[in-house]
Amino acid sequence: MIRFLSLFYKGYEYRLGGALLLAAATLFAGIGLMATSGYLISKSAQVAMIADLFVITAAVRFFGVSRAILRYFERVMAHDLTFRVLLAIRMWFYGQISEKSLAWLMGKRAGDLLARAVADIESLQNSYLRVVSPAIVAALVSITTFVLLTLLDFRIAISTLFFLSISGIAHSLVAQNISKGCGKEENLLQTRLKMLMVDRLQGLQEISWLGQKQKTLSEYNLLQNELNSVQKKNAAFSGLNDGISNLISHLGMFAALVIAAPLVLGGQLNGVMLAMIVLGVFSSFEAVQNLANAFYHNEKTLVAAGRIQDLIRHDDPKPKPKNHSCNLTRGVAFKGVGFSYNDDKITLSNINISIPEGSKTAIVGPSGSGKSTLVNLLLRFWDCNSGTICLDGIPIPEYPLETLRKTFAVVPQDHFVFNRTIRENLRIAQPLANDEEIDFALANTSLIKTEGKAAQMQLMAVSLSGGERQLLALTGALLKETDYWVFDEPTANLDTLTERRILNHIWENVDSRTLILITHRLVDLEKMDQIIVMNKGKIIERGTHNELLHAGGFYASMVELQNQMLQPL
Amino acid sequence: MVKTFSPSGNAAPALHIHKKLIGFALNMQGFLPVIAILSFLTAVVVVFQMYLLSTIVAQVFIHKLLPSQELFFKLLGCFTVRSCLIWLREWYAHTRAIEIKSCIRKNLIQSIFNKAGNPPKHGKTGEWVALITDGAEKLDEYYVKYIPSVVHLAVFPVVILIFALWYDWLSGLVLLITGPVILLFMFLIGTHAKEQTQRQWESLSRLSGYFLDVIQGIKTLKIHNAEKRENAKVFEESDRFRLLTMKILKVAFLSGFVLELAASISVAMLALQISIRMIEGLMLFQSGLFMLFLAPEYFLPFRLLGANHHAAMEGTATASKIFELEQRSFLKQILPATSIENLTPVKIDFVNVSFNYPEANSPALSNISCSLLPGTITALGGRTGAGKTTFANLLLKFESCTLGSIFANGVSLDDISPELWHSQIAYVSQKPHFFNATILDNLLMSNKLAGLDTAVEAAQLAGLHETILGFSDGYQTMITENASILSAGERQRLALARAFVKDAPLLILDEPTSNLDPTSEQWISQSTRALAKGRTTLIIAHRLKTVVMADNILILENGTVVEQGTHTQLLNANGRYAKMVATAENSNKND
Repeated sequence: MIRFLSLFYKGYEYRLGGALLLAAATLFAGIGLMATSGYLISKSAQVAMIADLFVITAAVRFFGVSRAILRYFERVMAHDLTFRVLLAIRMWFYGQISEKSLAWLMGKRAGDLLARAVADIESLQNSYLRVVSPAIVAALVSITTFVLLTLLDFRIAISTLFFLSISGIAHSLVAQNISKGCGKEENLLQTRLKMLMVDRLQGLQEISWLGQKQKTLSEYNLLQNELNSVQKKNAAFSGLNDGISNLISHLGMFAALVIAAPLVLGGQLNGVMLAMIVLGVFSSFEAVQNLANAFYHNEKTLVAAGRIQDLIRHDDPKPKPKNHSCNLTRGVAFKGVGFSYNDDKITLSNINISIPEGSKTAIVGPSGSGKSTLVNLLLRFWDCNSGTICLDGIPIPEYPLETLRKTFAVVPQDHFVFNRTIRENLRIAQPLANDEEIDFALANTSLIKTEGKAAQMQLMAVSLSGGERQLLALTGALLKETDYWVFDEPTANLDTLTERRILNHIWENVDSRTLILITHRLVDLEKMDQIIVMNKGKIIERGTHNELLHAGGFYASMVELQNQMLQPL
Repeated sequence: MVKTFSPSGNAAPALHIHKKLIGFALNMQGFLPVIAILSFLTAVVVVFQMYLLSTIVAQVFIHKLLPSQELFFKLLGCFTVRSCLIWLREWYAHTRAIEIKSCIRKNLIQSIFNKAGNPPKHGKTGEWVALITDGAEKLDEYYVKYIPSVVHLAVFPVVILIFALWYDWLSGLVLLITGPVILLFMFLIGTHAKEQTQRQWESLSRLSGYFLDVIQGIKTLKIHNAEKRENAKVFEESDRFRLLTMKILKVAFLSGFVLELAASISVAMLALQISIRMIEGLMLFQSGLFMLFLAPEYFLPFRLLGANHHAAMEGTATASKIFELEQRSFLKQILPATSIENLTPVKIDFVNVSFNYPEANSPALSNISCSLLPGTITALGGRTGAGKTTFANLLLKFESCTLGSIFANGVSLDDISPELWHSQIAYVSQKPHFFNATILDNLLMSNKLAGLDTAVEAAQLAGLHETILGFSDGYQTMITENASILSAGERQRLALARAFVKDAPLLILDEPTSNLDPTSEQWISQSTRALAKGRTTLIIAHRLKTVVMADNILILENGTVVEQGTHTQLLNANGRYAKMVATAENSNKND
């Protein structure tokens, strides 16, 4: 984990060093304050005039003030560093996620990813603030204290170092060992809670009319009780650790006293030093005081770091595309394409479609026949299991993804609307569009009515209805300047009049662009150069509208059905 | 929707919330008294320990005597007792904190699900999840550290102070003056930071909501090649959070600094004062050392309070958000439920119903009066954005009427609890949510008694049976989040099947066939007709095919019902409906 985290500290070495030095200096100031105070009192018992104590009183004040100042700067610097590093980790995490394929993401639950992106990363802050920095500083302070004490007496120095190590090393290791499993369990339960909540909160309406309230609450209660018992167990140990740390530091001081007392009586040690040693040694334990608990809770941090790494390391199945070039030199060609999302069910088999540049193609068929999958393959959200898709004669895996996706203006069936304003949503599609261009595009797709325009632009797009969302997706796609339009059910949620207007708009502007229209709405299809009829993952008919009508097959019956349904039953 | 946010949430800021949080601590039997008693005992032990310690040092240093073993053993005893007291206090505070925290979280979750009929605005889910999980965890620190440290501060230094005043009043006086001064400083700095801490929490929950949004919308981002561009936004959101956090921390650290400084200076002053008196011969070494030993202990609770200041600010900021969400209510007060045991069959009357969205300046629905009769299908038609979904939301009690009322068998919906009302409804929304469970579980959720055969029957009615059998696990196939293994049309049919399973008198279908091909659509229409027998059915549709089969058609335009009647009646009236039919026929028969 250290290696993983240290990647993010690159470029912050000076800050890191500075923060550590400040932390050590703060502790020394604390030790200095107590030791000089003890010395001052002892000396007062011997001298006759306050003026004799001038240097030592100045030292007391110096240490007192500098401890406060040093601590302030240490905390600011350490936290600043930590949050910079967290920011770097967050950026890295997002970068990793965004590079993953959809196939990979589909197996993940949003609640889980959310937990990792926010809470896990946040808990990494403890790694530096509570573990790494205190451990280094403790070592530094312990060694320095030892060296300083040897100047007075070797035995006291050894004994103090012994107790410091007991607290800082032995106790910490034991604590960390005891905690094995607890942190993991807690983290797991918290993630489960998060997943449960994401799932249920998004389905709050369903919870209500499906009568799932009690079930959800009891599921939650079960989880909460489990979490409570794990946390209580952790609490008992963590309290015990505090107690033990406290005891060890007192024992350390006690040992120093017991060793020093006979030395003073035997004249080997100046008595003035006694109070100073007692207070100084006790203060030095501040350096190791919280280490055991830090290590006890460290597992949570390790688990968080591990989970983040796991997620990223987790195999993103890289396909091995077999690339055959295609004959069609300008346009899109599907050649013998076969595909299945999971080995369960064959979604597409042996699909051959040739879409020359500038042609207009409709793909129709019942829902679940694999129409939308064609788009997923074309944009390489998934790769074909067999066969090839070519763009301008070159297999699509040979294009950089970005180039490929830039080529197509797509209205996906499941367009996601972001919790942002309408304009910001559209800028996802076309970041360079200015307000006028966006407004113009919106007016064209009749999403925004002229009245109350300004207010509507500020509207969060998530409050749009199903039909309006579809118009938003379409507006976004039309803002892109490309030669290919790929529209997946662009009018499914629109009323007949709006659909008419949108289709007219599309036909007026399509010009020489290549149009691929996936639809179950058999409207305007007579304008198409070819119609591909799909059913159960296969192409069952193809031809123009008239050809297919005359053939009297599946397509003809669908058209008949659609018209028939207009008559009252 | 925001209109009835509880006034106490916003108007009276952190102070009120403070009270509420402390209220929880007070309600937890014994929480504060036990902490206080433990603090008291610790103080007594500390005084005794420091007395022993100073005696030992004085005997060795001044009297050149080896102190008796008894003294050493007593000192060891003090250390042990003190450590045990610390353990007890930490363990006890932690345990209680866990209980309080889970109690607050439970209340919140209960309140959210009790108001499940009033779902959140879209896009709020991430923020809510953050509040329920991470937000509630932040209260941990508040109860584990802050509250005990307040109690500790109220007891521990007081015991030491009283003892010091009695033992050596001059030293006691120094402590008496410096303690309150420190508190005053802290208070002055602390009040500034409250608002910022609120903002920090808002920023964190926005970050959370933002990440959920991006994760769920990654496909759309990728389609537009926007996933890299989004980097800038991730940076912006994260950096805003970082800067806000640092800003608040700096204030917290500053108050810590003032505390440390005051404590240090006080110790130094005390030491100086003692040493002067010792030089003058007015004080014994042992007494002076004793006071010096006590001084840091006296200031420790102040320092701890300063160190926990941030935890307190975070806790109160989060708590106010939690309580705000808990008290969230968009509904008019529900009167004790009028008994409406038998709603089958149910007749719905809209009487002069109007509805305004709070942000909008024109009403979404105005002055609607109409009836939905048992055993009939009512179709609600109209353009996109005409108010069809709002109409359904009112009927579902997801929103409540701004003016007018809706009656079910003569009882106003305002008098029926959402829970009772929803138990009478089967509903297909435009964007149905499926739970992380098997297909079978999702289908059978509404009906505990139903078995596989019911599920199969419903799936057949919705034309989904064969698709389900196509999966190797069949009905036991797990639906991952948002049912991404199904196509849009299949999801719609699953939602229909789920509604079919629930044997409810009122059936509300919002665009049930928008993603379906003509064949499936006809199949579904027939199923719906069969199912509608004996029920009251409302179908929202922009497709004429679905509308045509209805017994009564309502056409909405700009929030009002402009036409009403059967297909034939409306065709003859030659109004908007007739125009829509003409357009549709032109589209279909262009050849």
